[in-house]
Amino acid sequence: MEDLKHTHTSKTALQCSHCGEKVVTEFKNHDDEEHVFCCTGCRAVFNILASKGLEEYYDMKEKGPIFKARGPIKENKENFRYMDSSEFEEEFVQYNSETGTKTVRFYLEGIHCLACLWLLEKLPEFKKGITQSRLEMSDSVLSVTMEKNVFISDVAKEIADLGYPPHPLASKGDLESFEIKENRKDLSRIGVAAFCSMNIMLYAVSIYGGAEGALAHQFAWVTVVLSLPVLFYSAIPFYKSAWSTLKKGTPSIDQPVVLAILVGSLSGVIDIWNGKVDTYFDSLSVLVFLLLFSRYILKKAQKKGLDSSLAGSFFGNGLAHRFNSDTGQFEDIYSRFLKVGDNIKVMPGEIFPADGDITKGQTSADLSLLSGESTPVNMFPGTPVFNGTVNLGNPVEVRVSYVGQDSRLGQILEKIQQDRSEKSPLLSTVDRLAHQFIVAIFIISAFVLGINWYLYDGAIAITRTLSLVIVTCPCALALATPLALSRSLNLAAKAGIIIKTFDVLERVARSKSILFDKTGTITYGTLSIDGWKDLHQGELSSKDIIYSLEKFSNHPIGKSLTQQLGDEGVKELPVSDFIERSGLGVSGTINGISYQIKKIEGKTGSYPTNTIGLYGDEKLLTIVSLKDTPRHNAKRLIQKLKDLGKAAFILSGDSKQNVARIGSAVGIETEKQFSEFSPEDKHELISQMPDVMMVGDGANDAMALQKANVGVAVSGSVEVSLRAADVYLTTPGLEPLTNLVELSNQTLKLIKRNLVISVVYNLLGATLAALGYITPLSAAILMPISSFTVLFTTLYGTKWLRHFVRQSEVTL
Amino acid sequence: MSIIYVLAPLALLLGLSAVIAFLWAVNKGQFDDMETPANRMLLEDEPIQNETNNKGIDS
Repeated sequence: MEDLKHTHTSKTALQCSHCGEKVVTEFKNHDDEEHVFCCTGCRAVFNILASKGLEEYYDMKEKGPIFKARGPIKENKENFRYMDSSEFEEEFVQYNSETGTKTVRFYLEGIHCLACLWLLEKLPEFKKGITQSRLEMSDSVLSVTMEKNVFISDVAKEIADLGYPPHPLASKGDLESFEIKENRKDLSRIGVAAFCSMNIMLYAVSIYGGAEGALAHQFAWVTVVLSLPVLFYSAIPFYKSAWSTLKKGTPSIDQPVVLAILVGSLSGVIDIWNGKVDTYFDSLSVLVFLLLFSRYILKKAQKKGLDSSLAGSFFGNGLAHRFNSDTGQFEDIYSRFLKVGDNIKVMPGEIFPADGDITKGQTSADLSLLSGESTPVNMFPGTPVFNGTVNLGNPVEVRVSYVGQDSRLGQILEKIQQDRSEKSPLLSTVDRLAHQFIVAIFIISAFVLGINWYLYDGAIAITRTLSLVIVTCPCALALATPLALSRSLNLAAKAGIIIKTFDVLERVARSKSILFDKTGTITYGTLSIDGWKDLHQGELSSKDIIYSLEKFSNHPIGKSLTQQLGDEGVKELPVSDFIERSGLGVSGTINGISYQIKKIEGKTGSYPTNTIGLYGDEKLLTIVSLKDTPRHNAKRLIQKLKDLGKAAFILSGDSKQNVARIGSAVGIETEKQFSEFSPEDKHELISQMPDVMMVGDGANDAMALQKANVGVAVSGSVEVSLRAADVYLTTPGLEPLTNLVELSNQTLKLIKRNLVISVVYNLLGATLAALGYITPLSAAILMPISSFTVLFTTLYGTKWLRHFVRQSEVTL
Repeated sequence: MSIIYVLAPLALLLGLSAVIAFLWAVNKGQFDDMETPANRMLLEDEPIQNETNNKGIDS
């Protein structure tokens, strides 16, 4: 996603051949100049597709619709061996004894377009043993059926290699079947209401058209009979919600709707009984149908956002190597099956699957998930380790002391869940207005009733009051608002902004300040070159040497070094005898000289932390220091947010010095910088600030994200913060954030515009009704006209929204 | 005009049968996943060409 007003600001307008993201550092295949990639992950997936003859994927992607924007892909390194254990099969695999097959269901990350569907359903064609593969796009759930002897791990690896990290799902839970039942009920109600209201219309029109005598009377009774299913079946949700809000004493839009239904149908029946044929059953049933339909659409749009929160429930689950005392070997299991007291081994690059203490081995670990610190921490036997953090150095053995819910991560997750249920729902503008509306209608009705009774007689007074209640029924409020919201949710999803609930839009528009986490949000979250010092100038350029060696490294430092040096246009030199040892850096031979790149400890001189050295034949040649840098457009986007009326703060667990450096680089004032904040401190600070938006990515932000009025998790966030957040940005950078703020403002503007239209309309209707100009026929015509007016203005949108729609079609 | 006493119930019956068909489809799960089948029908049934195409393979 590009920012709206500034397209093509970067020097290269290249797009990744796989994911379409803007390419900052070019990655290419050796013999292929045509395709450019943004990262090794995208290149890997491209190559796998090419080797299987699946290039059609890209045609498909270009032509087909895109449902959610998505960013670059991480290269898959997992082998999923744990999925072959008997414990795993028992819980996650369904056997079909008739066909001799088994079925597993996976939740897949990154499902976003038609091509995904095509690719995943082609699985049986390029993977032997798979008999069927079905994807449910709306839920991102893939069910794979395979022959009994196929290893599930192979299938999972195949899927992950294609760029869709799979998470196993236990067989259909209660929640899911409940959802399906609800959905079916909603649809049935809509269907019945549609049928009845259309047929009622048929008879009502002939009455209006001049049917007289016995026929008209019979027709009127037909409309009564046909409205029964609408009143006693389709409209049930309105009664329920009106009753429950009435009990709580809160106003809701459903209360006037129910009032109109009750009054309209009761008086209608009485009228027909007394031989009159003027009824409102047509208007009432159309109203019920339209309201049910617009709510159904809103529910669907919202569900898309909720799905991404499902991903959070897999967090901390994955591979674990458990020591089996019977065999004396470590075996791969699913980490959910770990117990307290188990001995496990954690390999470099793996996530610690539980809390525990190191019993054997030394290593360094990335604790940024919990502490927010980007610098790796050294660990020795006896040091506690935490679930969710990453082992960067060497294989270590760990005795498990806390698992699942009891681990530190588990407790954070629990706290989030608790906070979420306690968060009181915001009384939205629409609800408040509806309340005022209802009170106004009641007052006016009483007035009209009194005046007309005084001037004419009781019958005329009641008829006029009824037409007033029905004509002023806040259809526009009830109908246009959900539509405006659901449209914005869909637009946002297309632009890579996943919003969990619709009231988030209003909360965003209302928030006054934005708190940013530093690492990974304002900054890239990776280390980049800060200082470069050549001590001895050799025959070869030190940059070329470091680039050529680090190119093969899997370490995050190595990766970011290659990325940056690649930007500077360095030469690649042939390397032999390449070795990467965790904690000891990389070494290799170039032109007969053996080089080594490793961390310099101790005598780092003027370089503070993260300093590495290049050694040639044991002699120190070059010192490179690294730091985390702000995103290239962070300053401009933060300025833009300020222009939109949001105050920007920085909130970090990092040292004051680092925070000040980043803060001044992106234009956040010193008094708005908070450094050395623990997750608990962040939580505390936010609970004292009203109307605040928190933007973060790590688990250390999760509590703060939850507490904030709006929590936004940025792309690349750990799953735990996804669960806590209200909004998830699937494309990297802060551009989607400015779009989110703008979109929220515009949506609210649209809703308010609709409100004005409907208030004017209703005032007009009320006046006419009070004076007795509204007959059932004109009510039947005026009601739909008001609905269509607001529908049209909603779909037409505002200038910015139209621009946004076009923009997202162009850039995606 | 008496023909209307035949036609009106007939029209209602026709509409009713459509509603019954709709309710049947809903309960059979035809509307559970509204996205996938709509997109699936756009895809070609042709099998992929399984020639081993090694173009563009790195290392």
